[in-house]
Amino acid sequence: MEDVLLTNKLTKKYGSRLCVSEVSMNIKKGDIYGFIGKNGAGKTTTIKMISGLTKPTAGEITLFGEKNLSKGRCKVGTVIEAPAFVPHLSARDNMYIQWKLLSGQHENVIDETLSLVGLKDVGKKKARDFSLGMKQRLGIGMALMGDPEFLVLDEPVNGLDPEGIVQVRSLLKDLNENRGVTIFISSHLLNELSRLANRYGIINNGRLIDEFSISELETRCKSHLDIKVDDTARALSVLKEACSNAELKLVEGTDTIEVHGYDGRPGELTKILAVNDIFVESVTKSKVDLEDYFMSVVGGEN
Amino acid sequence: MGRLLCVDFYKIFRTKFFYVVSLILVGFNVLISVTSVLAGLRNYEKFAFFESKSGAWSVTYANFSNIALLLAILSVLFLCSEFSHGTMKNIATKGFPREFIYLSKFFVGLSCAVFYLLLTIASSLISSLIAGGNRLPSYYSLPSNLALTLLLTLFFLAVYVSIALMIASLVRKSGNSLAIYVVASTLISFLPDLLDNFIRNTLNWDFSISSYVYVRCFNEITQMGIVSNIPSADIVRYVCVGGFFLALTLIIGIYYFRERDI
Ligand SMILES: Nc1ncnc2c1ncn2[C@@H]1O[C@H](COP(=O)(O)OP(=O)(O)O)[C@@H](O)[C@H]1O
Ligand SMILES: [Mg+2]
Repeated sequence: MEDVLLTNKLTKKYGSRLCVSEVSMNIKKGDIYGFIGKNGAGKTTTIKMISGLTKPTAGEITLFGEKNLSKGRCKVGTVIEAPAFVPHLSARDNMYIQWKLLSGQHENVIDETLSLVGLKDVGKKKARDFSLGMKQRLGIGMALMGDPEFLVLDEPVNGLDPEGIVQVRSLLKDLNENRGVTIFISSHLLNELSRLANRYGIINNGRLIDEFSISELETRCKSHLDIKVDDTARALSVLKEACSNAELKLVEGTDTIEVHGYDGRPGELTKILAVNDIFVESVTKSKVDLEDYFMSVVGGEN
Repeated sequence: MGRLLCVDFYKIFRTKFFYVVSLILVGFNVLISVTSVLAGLRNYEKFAFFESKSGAWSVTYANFSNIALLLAILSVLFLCSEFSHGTMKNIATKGFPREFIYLSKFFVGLSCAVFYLLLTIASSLISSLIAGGNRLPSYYSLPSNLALTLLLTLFFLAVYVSIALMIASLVRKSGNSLAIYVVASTLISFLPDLLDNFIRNTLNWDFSISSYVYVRCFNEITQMGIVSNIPSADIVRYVCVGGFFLALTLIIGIYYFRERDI
C-alpha cells in the first residue's frame, strides 16, 4: 500500500541533548498509527519535525512519497500540543480562517465540518469560552479544512473526561473509515488508543523502541495459564496430546509451563495431569494488560 | 501569498486593538491640532508654520509623527498574538514558506500605515480647520511637496513596522516586545545625540551620527517638511538611511523567523 509518511533516522538535538534519535517509521494509507511514549519521550518533537515547525538535526522525511514537503504539507491536518484558535472569535470564524487559508473547497464545507465535530449549535459563542472537549473538537475541525488526507494529532484526548475521549475516538474512527483519512495520533496512555489504532509505535527517551500491529499486540496481551508441576518433561508430552491446538512453552529455569490459546476450563488440564500421575502445584490464569505491556517495554529502558 | 494576506487582513480587522489604536490616533491628532491651532493664533509670529501658505497642513504634517509609535504597537500585538494563541502553528504547518508568512504580516502593517496616514490627514485637517475658523491662512492650497512628504513618511513608517515586527518575532511575548521596543527606541533617539556632542566637543570633528539614524530623519520629514522644499541631498540621505534600516530589520526578522522553532 501507498506510504503516507516515511521517516528515515529522524534526529533532533537541542544543544547537546538528544531529544529524538534516529526515528524511522512508516505509515501507510488508511492506518491509524498510535504513537506512544511517556511525557518527555519526544513525541511532540517528532511531530513538530514532521509538520515543519522545527527543523530536524538529521534524517529525512517523505510525505506522500515526495521529498518536497511544502507540497505534501498542504494535505496534512495538524493539532499540535493544544488546539490553536483565535480566542475572541467564534468556532465558525475560526474555521473560516483555516478554510480561507487553504480554500479549494466550497464554503459549505465549513458548516458540514462543524456538524461533523458536533459544534453546529454553538452559534456566536467565543472559542475561549468553550469546554476543553469542545476546544479539542474545534482544533480537529480546523485541521480538517483543506480536505487533508493525513491527520497528525498530538495528544488530542489529553485532559478530556471519559465522555470527551469517546467522542473524539468515534470522530476519528468515522474519519478513517468513511473518508479514508490516515491518522497519526500520539498519547502517553496506551489504553486510550487501544480501541482506535491498528498500528503502534513506542517511543522512549527519543528512540522508537518497538513497533507492532494490533494483531501482534493481541497475541502479546492474550491471557494464558501458568501451570506449575513437578515433572515438566512428562507434563509437556501429556499436555501436547491432550490439547493439540494450544501452544505450550516451558518457562526457562522454572517448573512452570505456559499454555497459550487454550480455551477450555483449567480444571480439565489438572485432571488430565493428575490421571497421568503428575503432581500439579498451582494453576494461575494471567493476562498482560496493555498498560502493563507498555510499562514492561518502556520500563526496561530506564 | 494572496491567501496569507487575505487571512491576515481578516484577522487584524477582527481584533479589538486595531480599532482601539485607530481611536487613540484620532484622539491624539484632534487634541494636538486644536491646541496648536489655538496657540498659534494667539502668538502668530512665534509659530513659523503659519507663515507658510498652508496653515492646516503644517499641523497635519506634525501629526504624522504620532503614527509611528501606535503603528509599532499594532504590529507587535498583531504578530505576538499569533504566537500566544498558537495560531502561527496553523499557518506554519501548511507548507507556506516562512518568508511569505513574515512578509504577509509586514504588508498588513504597511497597509495599516497607509490607512493611518489617511486617517491622520482627515482628522488633523478637519479639526484644525474647525478650530481655526476663518483665521487660518490659505486653507485649501495643497503644499507643493505634499506627494514627496507622503511618500517619505510612508517609507519611514515601513521602517517602524519592520523594527516592531523584528522585535516581536525575536521576543514573541507582547508585553516583553513592547517594553523592549520602547526602551530601544528611547535609546536610539538620544544616544546618537550624546555621541554627536562627544564628536563635536571632544574630537572637534564636524560630523553628526544622529542625522543618519531613522528617528532623526523621520522627525525632520514631519517637522520641517512644510517650511521649505526638501533639499535633494536630504532626500538622498533619507532614502539611504530608511532603506538601510528597513533592509537590516527585515533581513534579521525574516532570518530568525525562518530558523527558529514555532
Ligand atoms: N525547544 C526545546 N528546547 C530544549 N529542549 C526541548 C525543547 N522542546 C523539547 N525539548 C525536550 O525534548 C524532550 C522531548 O520533549 P517532547 O517532544 O515535548 O516530549 P513529549 O511530547 O513526548 O512529552 C523533553 O525532554 C524536552 O525537555
Ligand atoms: Mg508532548
